[in-house]
Amino acid sequence: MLGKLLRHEWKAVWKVPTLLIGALMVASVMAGIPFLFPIWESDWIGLPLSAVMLMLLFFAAMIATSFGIVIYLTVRYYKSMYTDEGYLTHTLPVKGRDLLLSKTIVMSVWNLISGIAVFVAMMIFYVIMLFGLTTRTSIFTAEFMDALGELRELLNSPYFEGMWGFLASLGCMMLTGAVGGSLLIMGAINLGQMVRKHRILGAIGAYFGFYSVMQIIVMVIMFPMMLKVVFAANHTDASEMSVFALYTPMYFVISAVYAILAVGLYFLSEYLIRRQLELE
Amino acid sequence: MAWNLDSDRPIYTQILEEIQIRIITGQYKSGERIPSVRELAAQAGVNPNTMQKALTELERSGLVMSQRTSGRIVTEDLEMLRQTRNKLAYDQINAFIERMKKLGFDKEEVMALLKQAEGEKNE
Amino acid sequence: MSELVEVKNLTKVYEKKKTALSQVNLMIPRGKIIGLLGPNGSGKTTLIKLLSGLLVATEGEILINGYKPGPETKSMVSYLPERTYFQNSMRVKELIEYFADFYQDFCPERAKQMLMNLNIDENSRLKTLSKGTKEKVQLIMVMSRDAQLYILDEPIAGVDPAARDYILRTIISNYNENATVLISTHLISDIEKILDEVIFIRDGRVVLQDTVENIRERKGKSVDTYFREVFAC
Repeated sequence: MLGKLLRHEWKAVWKVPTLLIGALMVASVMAGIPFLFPIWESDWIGLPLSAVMLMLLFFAAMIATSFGIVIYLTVRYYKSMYTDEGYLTHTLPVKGRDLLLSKTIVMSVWNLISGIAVFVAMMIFYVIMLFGLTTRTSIFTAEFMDALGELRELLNSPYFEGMWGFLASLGCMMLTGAVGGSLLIMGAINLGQMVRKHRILGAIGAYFGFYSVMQIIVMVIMFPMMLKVVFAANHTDASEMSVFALYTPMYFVISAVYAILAVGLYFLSEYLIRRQLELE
Repeated sequence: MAWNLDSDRPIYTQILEEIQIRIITGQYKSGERIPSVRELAAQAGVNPNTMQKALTELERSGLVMSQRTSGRIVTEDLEMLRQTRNKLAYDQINAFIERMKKLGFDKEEVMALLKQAEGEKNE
Repeated sequence: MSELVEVKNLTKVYEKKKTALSQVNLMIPRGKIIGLLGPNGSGKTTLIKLLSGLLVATEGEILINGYKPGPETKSMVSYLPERTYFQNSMRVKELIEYFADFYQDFCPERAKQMLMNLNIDENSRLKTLSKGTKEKVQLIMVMSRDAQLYILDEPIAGVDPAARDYILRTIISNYNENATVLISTHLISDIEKILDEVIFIRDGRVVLQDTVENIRERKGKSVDTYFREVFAC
């Protein structure tokens, strides 16, 4: 049944996020294109300001896309579980566990896709902008190859020791963050149902509650680590330390917090759906 | 064809009468299949169990016969159909006379009135 | 074979204050059309939601075919709620696929036949259909299952006589012979002719469960008239 639930859940939600991401991709190209025009050599005073405005607009589009997707998925979850649609959702012959799992997986996958999409959009924008700005002074490909060469050198330097570990920790954090973020929203909505007379308010309250708890846990754990790094920096030659030394363990710790939080919220949600369901 | 059932009298009796009327008026023809319980119940808007009971009663009286493959067919015994027709007519007449008695008419008066009404109709 | 539904000491309290059902005991047999009758707010919908698994009982037990409400019972119970529960962006044919995917007892052919009889295009999106048509589509979906228990919550409230006849005909011609149909309503006269049994419910308690025949014979009046007497203020 999980397979069927996943398939139908995917079918029910894929269109809007795809549309939003498509729009973001178009926006990143559109934002990059003005840099291709030969207007940037002019010494009009408004030019730098226009460039900044363009970038700001593009960043706004990226944020709007990520938020749009999260809000859309949140509303879909709420509607399918706790409005009229819930009458069908909760009379399907499936286990509450499978229902919850299917929704968690689909929402997490979209969280990941939306993160990747923002990264890709940023790359598109930068590449077009760099291409536009460099072709006027030199040949783009040569510049690009130079840059790549420098990057390779940089990667081999002691600064970049432990880069793979860092990337692993980053991946780990993105993954647990996507799942934890989904369960944070879903768990808050499920718990909000317990405030029978103000269910949406309950959900919003629960969300901020969960979020604050998570932040506090992360801070409490991070504080000694930060101190350690600061002390270490005072005693050793800072230039020899890899830039990742701080971030890799930090990201792994955050991942662990997300993972524990996700598991806890999952079991809480499962219990609420199985034992406390009360559709209006 | 509409089934006009009223809520005061037992539904079972009303269904029984209606099917009998349909048979003697040839709406369900001698030797032909009648609709299934489910179909009849849906047409009449009544409980299938009630319809089933009415049909079982008709079977018992011999007016319809159960056939293993094709559901129920109306009897081919024309004498029985004639008798049923007469019986229904007598039932109506008896009921009519009962009501007239309540109004204080005796048999002769009723007969005279009937003839008079018939005559007025023909004018 | 045991009873289809057994309800023992069922109590449902909302919010620690409002008792919607209190110590309800019921046996619901197989193969019957049963009316769940009571005024608005008497606890009909609460009982139905508990049977369908949309609420969790405060106390007591429900057994459907021997199972407590859960995935097993949901595969045997076909439930028509008072509200339309579709995701509006779906097309009718997607809805058929959805039902066929989840309910093993769903007959897509039967649903398609009924939709055709009503001239409802399978390609139309649900949001383009009128409220009345949507309700009919929902009834068709619910009655296209070969369930053991059909639970229909106020199926004829607020519809015109023609639609009412269509709904009752659809129920009679589609329910499976060994199945039971539980119809909740406060419009008894409209539905009386198709009932085997009735359950009267008032203030969260079952006040009477009997066959329609018994009521008519013993009281010498229609169930509707009797109901008015029992519930007269």
